Amino acid sequence: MLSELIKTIKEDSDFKRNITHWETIQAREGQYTNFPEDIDPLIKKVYSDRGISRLYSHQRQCYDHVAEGKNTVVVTPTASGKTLCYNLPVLNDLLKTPEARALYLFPTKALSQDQQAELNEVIKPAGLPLKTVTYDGDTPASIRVAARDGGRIIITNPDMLHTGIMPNHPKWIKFLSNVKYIVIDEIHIYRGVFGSHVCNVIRRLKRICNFYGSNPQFICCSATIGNPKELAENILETSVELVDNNGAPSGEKHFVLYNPPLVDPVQGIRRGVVLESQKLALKFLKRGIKTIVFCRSRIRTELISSYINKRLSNIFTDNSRIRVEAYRGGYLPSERREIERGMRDGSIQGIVSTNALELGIDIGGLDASIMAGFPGSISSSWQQAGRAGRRSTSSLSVLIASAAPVDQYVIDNPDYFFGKNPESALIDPNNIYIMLDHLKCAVFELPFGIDEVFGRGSKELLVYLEEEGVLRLTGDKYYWSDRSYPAESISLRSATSENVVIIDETKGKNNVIGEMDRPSAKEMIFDHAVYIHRGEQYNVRKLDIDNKKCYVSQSNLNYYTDAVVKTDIKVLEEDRRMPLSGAELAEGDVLVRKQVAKFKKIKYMSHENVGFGEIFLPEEEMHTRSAVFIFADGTASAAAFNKIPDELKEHVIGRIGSLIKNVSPIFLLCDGHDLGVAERLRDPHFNQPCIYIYDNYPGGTGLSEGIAAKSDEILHAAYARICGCGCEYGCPSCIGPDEEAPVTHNKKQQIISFFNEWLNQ
Amino acid sequence: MDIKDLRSRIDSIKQQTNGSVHTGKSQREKKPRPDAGKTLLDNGWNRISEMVYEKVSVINNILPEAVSDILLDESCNTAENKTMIPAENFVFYDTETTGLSAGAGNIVFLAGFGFLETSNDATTTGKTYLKIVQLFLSDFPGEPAFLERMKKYITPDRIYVSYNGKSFDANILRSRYAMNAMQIDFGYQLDLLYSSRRLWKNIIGACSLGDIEREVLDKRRALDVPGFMVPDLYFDFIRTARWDTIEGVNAHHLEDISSLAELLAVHEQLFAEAGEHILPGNYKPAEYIDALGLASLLADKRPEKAALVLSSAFKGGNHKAGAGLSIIHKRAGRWDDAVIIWNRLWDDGKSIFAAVELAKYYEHRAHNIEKALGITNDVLGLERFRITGIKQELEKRKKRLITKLN
Repeated sequence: MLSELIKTIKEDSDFKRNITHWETIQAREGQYTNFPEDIDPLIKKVYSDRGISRLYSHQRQCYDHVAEGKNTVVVTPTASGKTLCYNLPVLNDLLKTPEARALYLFPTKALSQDQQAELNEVIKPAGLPLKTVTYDGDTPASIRVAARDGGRIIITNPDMLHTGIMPNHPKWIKFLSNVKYIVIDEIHIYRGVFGSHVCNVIRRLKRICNFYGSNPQFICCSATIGNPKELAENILETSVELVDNNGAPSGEKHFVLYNPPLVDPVQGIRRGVVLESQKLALKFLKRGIKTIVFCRSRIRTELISSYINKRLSNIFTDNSRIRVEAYRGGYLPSERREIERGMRDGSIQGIVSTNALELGIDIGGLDASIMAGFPGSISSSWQQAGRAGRRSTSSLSVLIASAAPVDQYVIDNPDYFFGKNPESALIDPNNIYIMLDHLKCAVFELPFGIDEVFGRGSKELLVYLEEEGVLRLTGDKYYWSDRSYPAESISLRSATSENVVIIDETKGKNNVIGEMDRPSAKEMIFDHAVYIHRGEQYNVRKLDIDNKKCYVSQSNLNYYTDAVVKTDIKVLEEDRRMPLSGAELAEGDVLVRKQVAKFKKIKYMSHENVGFGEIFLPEEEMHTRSAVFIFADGTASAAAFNKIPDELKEHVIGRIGSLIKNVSPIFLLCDGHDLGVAERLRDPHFNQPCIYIYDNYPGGTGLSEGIAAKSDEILHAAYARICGCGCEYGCPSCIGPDEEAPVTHNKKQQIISFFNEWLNQ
Repeated sequence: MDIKDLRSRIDSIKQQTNGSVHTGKSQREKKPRPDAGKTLLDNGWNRISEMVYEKVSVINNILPEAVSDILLDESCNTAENKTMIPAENFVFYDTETTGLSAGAGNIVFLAGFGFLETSNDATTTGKTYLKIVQLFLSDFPGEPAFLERMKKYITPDRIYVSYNGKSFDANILRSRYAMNAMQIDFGYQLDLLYSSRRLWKNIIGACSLGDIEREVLDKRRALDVPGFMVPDLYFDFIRTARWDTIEGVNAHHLEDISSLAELLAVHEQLFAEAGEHILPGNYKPAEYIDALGLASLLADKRPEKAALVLSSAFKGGNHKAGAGLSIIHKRAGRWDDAVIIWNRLWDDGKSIFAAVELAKYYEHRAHNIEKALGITNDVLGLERFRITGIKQELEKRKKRLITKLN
């Protein structure tokens, strides 16, 4: 079916016109080996009953490494039998060694549940005596004791390990003294500040295991990133074997870049991504091709899925017997499970999702994936494209470009996409703020010997904590001497865990239909907003932020709503200011405020703006730390900036900001998302043009101090990046996307000259 | 960033917030540490090892010679199917900890065990008194020795009485032993919080041990230490080694253990006199007992006593007591007694419960279908069902009765 479709669209002049690049990735033969000799016949049978009678080479390679006692990280694309890489050695050994246990870590609860279901399918039919329990915030208290005492495999997430399991380790004595394997799936998620936290969580876990006499072996899995081995070694702080020779077969893959047609060539306006992806998805679905559409926002997910369903809607043909569902965060767990099941058993043919389905949730094989806009990173794009493709048949991935500059850049420069390595994941486990937090937890968990090392600089931090009175040094050990439970107030993620519950009150009902985190709620379910949930439209009656409830009722409006969000930075306290080559640098506390003051009403299908509404909600505030580059009067940077024509100043400072933000993570060992950037032509506090680079975690995690300490290196790296960038006129990798700049000059050359003057090169 | 920057950064936060971030500890005086033991030894404590102290107090026994098995369940080996257990088998115990939540960093620094002992003293030979042993840990490194000493008082064959809910003390002790790679075998845990709630919650509301002392035991404490202050007082003590910081905590702890013994004695007295309506004693009189609660505690092991309690409450006009009593009669096969109560409950208060029971009785035991249908129709006419399930049941019954009649 797909090959026919590929043939048709290649010939379809309407479609062909918009294709800017067609990349064909050849089919690959599978590389197979036999099951290892020492596999228990029972396990072999379970797998052969499921149609697996031999292994892919990478699965075998992983098994051999694990059998030799080596820590291992497996990097292979989606649908390459990654789960078996860790389940096979773990299940086999657990069966052989009755006291051995395993801990599985997943970044989300949804993935934990998915894994639980998958393990059940292996364990239950064969009646293996391997009790597997998901232990997270949702686990009922009644089964917790049995889970701790009898669970052979415990599935959880780093947050639960941090706040629930480790601080109570004496209750886990049986498990922790026998834990032999720790599986960390989706390890690429643990990058930047989050990854630095997780590394410290692992340090604590190793300490506790060591205390109970166990020395677990790690098996990790990662999506394709630039440095999987390095990341795993940084998180585990030990050497790790890399398995990256994918032995799974794959069909021919077609990767198409698609630029929607211009509707107004003069102004450069193109057809929207929403309508184009809907049109394409319909074309695919009607030919019986299982399709997934990835969107960048929750609203778009709902819009595209309801447009598709509307177009399919026909009572006589039962909607052409095609079922399409939306999938995103905020659905009830039971709804998510139902959709995943529907995808696997084939009762759902089309799915429109946010990046929630980028991770390894099992939804079965798909034929085509459509990306409604560039997902933001190369590694995400490959993950999303990887959702399409079964082992033997060919697959198709289409990236539909939006009007955003990054998307257009990708369209214009396919080499950027197909030739470049995926992004690397960096962490800084010795970040003093993060380590300090975990050191408190570690001492709470077990007293600390004065010679014990936790991370670089941990000894000094212990002295500091003693001075603060939180620890007591006595008899050569530090003891926790505070009444509090430190893990409770330390969050591993920047996102708040506070959720607003959405309640449907239509006709006197009182049903919880979904939930949403607080900052998003302010932007999406304000009073009078249109909220779409699995294609049903609701109108928000009242958002009660204080009580974390949002009351909605079903509606039938012909528009949806989109909030206009304004971000503002206010300096609270300037701690210090120092000279910098050709500029000044300030450091201090800032308040980053996000305000949603009004919303647009946008008509369905035509996407015309049909009106505005007011939103009365308190601002979302984040108190954090920022470094500020100031083009101070009398410095070289100010002189250089003054020479820029006024109408271009805004764009130039924006590009410099992007450059600095793009190179900083390398020096700070963080992720791009951990930093925020804001450029000001004339800042009310500093009264001069300046660029804020702020820490995206509430309270700050020391990133802005890192910028201050390395500011010269960062500036020179920014300069080197733009000079060395392979692009001709500036690209998203160097100066970032910039909107609506009149392109009457060479942007890149302009920035280089600016730097030349600034840094006196 | 290095540690110096961190310090200056935190100091600057302190200045901005006028020192409200880390008040207390860092500003607290750090006096040179005198010998901690000396002050303890002056106050009746004996040194057991470098950081472990023990104090023995003796108070008058108020427990009877034997205690009933009413509060014990079948998992209690000590009871061994006996209805009365010698009071010597009970241990009253309590702990004080460095934190308010559970967790590995929460340490027991004070533990006390109260038990009966008979005097061997020439003058008082044969007299039984309550001996309370308190163990105190004067600094963290002494924990293994502290726990080792405590093992003397933890045995598998006795009943451990506490007042905390969910065996908090036992769990935390188990954790401490586990972390120090030591084994203990704790006896049966009897937490008086649950039975006290049944007896007094509807009367006095909150049932903390303090509330019970005040309202039930009629005890007033002159100077008491509120529980939430305990951890900080202990931290003060280990930093300053000043006895006065912790004295109040130790006194409070001793008082708690003696209250446990008194509270068990009150339970015993209530059980002994249940239904007789004469309850002399030094606690508040019997009208302050929740009769339903008392009966529920007795129902399992002393149904005849539970019936007496309910019957006297029913006579006093308590309809719920009547319902409970009728169930006891029904279980014992005393149908006539049960029917009398149901009829009265139905006539006086239009009790749906009683009507349903009557309908069942007439249908299945008396085989009087007409009467059963009559009462079913009557109750269906009431239109005040809060639980729809009951109404559906009744409608089903009605259908069935009609079929049976035809």
